[in-house]
Amino acid sequence: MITKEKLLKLANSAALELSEEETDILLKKVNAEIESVVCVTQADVEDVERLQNPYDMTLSLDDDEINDGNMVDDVMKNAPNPLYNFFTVPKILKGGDE
Amino acid sequence: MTDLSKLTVLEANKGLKNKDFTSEELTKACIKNIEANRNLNAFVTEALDLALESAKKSDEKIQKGEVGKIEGIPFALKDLFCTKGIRTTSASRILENFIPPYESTVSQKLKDQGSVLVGKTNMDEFACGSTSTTSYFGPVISPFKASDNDEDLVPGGSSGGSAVAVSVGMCLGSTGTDTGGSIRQPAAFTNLVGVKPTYGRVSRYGIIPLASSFDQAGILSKTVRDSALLTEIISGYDKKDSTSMNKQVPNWLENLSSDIKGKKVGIVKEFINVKGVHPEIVEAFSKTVQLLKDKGCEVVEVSLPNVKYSAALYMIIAYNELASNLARYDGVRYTRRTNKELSSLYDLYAKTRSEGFGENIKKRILLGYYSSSSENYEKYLLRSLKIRRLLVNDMQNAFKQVDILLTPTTPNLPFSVEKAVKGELEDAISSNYLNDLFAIPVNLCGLPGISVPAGLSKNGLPMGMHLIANRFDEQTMFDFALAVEEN
Repeated sequence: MITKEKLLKLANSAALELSEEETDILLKKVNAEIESVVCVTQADVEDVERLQNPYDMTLSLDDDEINDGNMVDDVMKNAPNPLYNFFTVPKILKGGDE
Repeated sequence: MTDLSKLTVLEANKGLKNKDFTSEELTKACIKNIEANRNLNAFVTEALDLALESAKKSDEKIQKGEVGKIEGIPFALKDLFCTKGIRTTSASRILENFIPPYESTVSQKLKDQGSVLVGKTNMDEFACGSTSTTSYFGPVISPFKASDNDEDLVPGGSSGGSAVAVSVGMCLGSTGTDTGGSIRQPAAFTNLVGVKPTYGRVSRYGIIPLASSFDQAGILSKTVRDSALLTEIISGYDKKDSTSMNKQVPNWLENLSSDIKGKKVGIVKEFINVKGVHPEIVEAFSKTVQLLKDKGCEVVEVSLPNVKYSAALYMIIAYNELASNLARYDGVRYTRRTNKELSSLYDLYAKTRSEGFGENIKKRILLGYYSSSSENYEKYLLRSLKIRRLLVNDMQNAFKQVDILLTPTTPNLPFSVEKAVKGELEDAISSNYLNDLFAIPVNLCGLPGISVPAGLSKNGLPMGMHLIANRFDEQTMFDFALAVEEN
């Protein structure tokens, strides 16, 4: 079980801002799910190696060569308020040469 | 004249080749069904004009005899396959206006073989769910209703829109993705065949991810033969996906045979007498076992001692991967951005993400952060990755004894949309443990699985049987599925 404070701390790490109502609903749901995964702490995993993907696949590596590029327009197409091929963020600091 | 939208892909292929009808006529028949069934909410984005244009191009190619394997066949894509120039949302508000500048490998392969895209189908947000009710664009409704009740039912999920589209004849085949049953369960709920290939068989390039070590693209279609052909088309090594396996794709359709005499079918000991499975599904399962015996198979009981952890492993490992995959949505590069007043850059991220993600996604992200936090990593995440190996070992032991495993696809019949939306489902239906019991082990172990229609319940609702094969042995899976289908 986790507390409301702990939930809000997790939300903060995940860059999520929760309303009061959402926090209450999610606290109940998250705790219910935590309860249902506790069983994994009972399993005997001594000397077992972790499995990172379904069957110890050997992943292929790309050759170190240029195979595409020069697609600035494509990359910028979905950006909110782009400027001169730059991604932008809203101005936060006030003052100076506004 | 025959309703062309009712044809299978192979029947339509033949009719087009013989010039019995044109792709334009076939596509119009599907469009008619799309327009008549918008209440089912199967599509996030329709592409009807584009479809007619592609159909005409296919007709020209057919005239010239230059045809792909599915030239002129109306097709739908789940709305998480990136399509160049066509909006792709993963049913999330955060991607509501995202127009990909590139094409997923799967959709490109289908296009190369002449498919006619009719639209992008609705789904659970970021493929998280088994009801298709968590979409930002509203719930998908099943075309099936119980004979004794008029309420709207879920088509299953997360590939619910893709299932409804094929089931109603809005297209002849569609793609889905399956992370924990998201192709097989909707197939079972809508009387279709649903295929989840071996992990690594189909490229994940251009698919908006849920959990990268589980996700696999697959096919929803009306018959086993169609699914063998369509799975063949989307399979194959792709340099753009580092988890794609360099294995030759067999000719599953050509080699298809329902002669399964002498093969061994495994029944999972831990799945026998599970409390909460619908009695009519238990009955359908017993009938399928008998059918396979009648066809000359030997039925063997096998044990998967670690299968009881499956739902928990999914919740821990898949939510971790989801939380990591969704960290990229920040309102800066390509997602919807908040319009609220901001006090910091963090504020931009937090407000954008909080407005953009639905409650179900937030819950899963929080759980992902919980089980990977420094205090819980060893207790939950690391242990789960170790148990995953134990389960894979269990499966490999089972496949030393048998050629295929048989389970029901779902423990329950399709259920109420309203109750799913309001979170009022009975425990037997909402229980993660029960719901995911048959489907999730397949994803945890990267195996291929197929759901085949197994008749209707007494009140007219579809049920599915589930066949699980060994890694990269899709042929055995399709052969058994054909044997079940032919009955």
